[in-house]
Amino acid sequence: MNRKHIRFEDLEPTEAPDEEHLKSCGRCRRELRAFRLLRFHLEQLPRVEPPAHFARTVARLAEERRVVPFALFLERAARQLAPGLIALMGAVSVLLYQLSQPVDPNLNPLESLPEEASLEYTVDSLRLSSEGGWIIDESN
Amino acid sequence: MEKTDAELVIASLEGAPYAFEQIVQRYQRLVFNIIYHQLGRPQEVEDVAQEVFLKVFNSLGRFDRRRPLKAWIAKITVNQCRDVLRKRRSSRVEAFSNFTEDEERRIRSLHDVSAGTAAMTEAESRACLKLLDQLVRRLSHKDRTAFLLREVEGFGYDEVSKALGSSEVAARIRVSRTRKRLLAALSQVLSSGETLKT
Repeated sequence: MNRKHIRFEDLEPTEAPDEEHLKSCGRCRRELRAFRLLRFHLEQLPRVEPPAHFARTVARLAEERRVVPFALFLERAARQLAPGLIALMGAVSVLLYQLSQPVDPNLNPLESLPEEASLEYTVDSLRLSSEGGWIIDESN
Repeated sequence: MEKTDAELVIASLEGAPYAFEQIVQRYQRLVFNIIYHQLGRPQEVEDVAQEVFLKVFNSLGRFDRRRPLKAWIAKITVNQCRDVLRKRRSSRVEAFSNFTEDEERRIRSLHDVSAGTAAMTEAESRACLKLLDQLVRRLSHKDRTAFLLREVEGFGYDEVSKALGSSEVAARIRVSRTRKRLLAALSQVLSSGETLKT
């Protein structure tokens, strides 16, 4: 007879205890009752069933929340680019302001031309070419 | 043909409609029952399960598709339960052999009717289930998790170890130790019942 006590804690549900040993060992028989009681009730532990709508509801919620990381990304990008955008908008404003200012009436656009290049001289020198364009007649 | 877990994960990451819903459908019973057996409050189960699946969804990109999805989802569920218990501050471990008088009386009465594997009445069976439930709740979080995943959910030791984030040997030790403690506690009460009867 095997005098070694059965280690019920190492018995898997599919394993059977040593019947020969049980016949002659009161201690193991007592433990076997506890073992059977434990097994029986583990098999019958209450179980809960998910509601029918659960999978669809949670999947829809997850899809809705998928947008959140992208929105966060946009928010962070905007925060990082804000100083650059403000500087650019300032520069554009200055440029637009300058362009909108009226031209100085004292400024003579012909000042930079040579003395002989007066408007009268230029207009008098223009002749209509045979191709239909204007040419400067150097003979004057 | 039914898609594999890895195929569903890829499809979900690519935004395929119903892919994530199928993942939820496949594992919702497991998640609900882990939560129920960890927290013990049926009214909380659905809310916690929803949080679990949202975490699963947000972490799918980091999931190693060579590993089993089942154990990975179980791990997220177990961690979520641990967080809930921490917030409740009720995950303290009590001395396992300290039964109340009422518990001892109920175990003995159950033993009287179940000795010799006689069938128990429905009320007695329900009482015994409740008692065992209380005993399991007194275990440490990791011992309880390992034990329930193995004994109730039918996980292999490799899956238990992955869900716990420990080695397979450690998972085996936890399950064996928990069985030993439960059996010792039950045997002790059963023996004292016999002594009282004689």
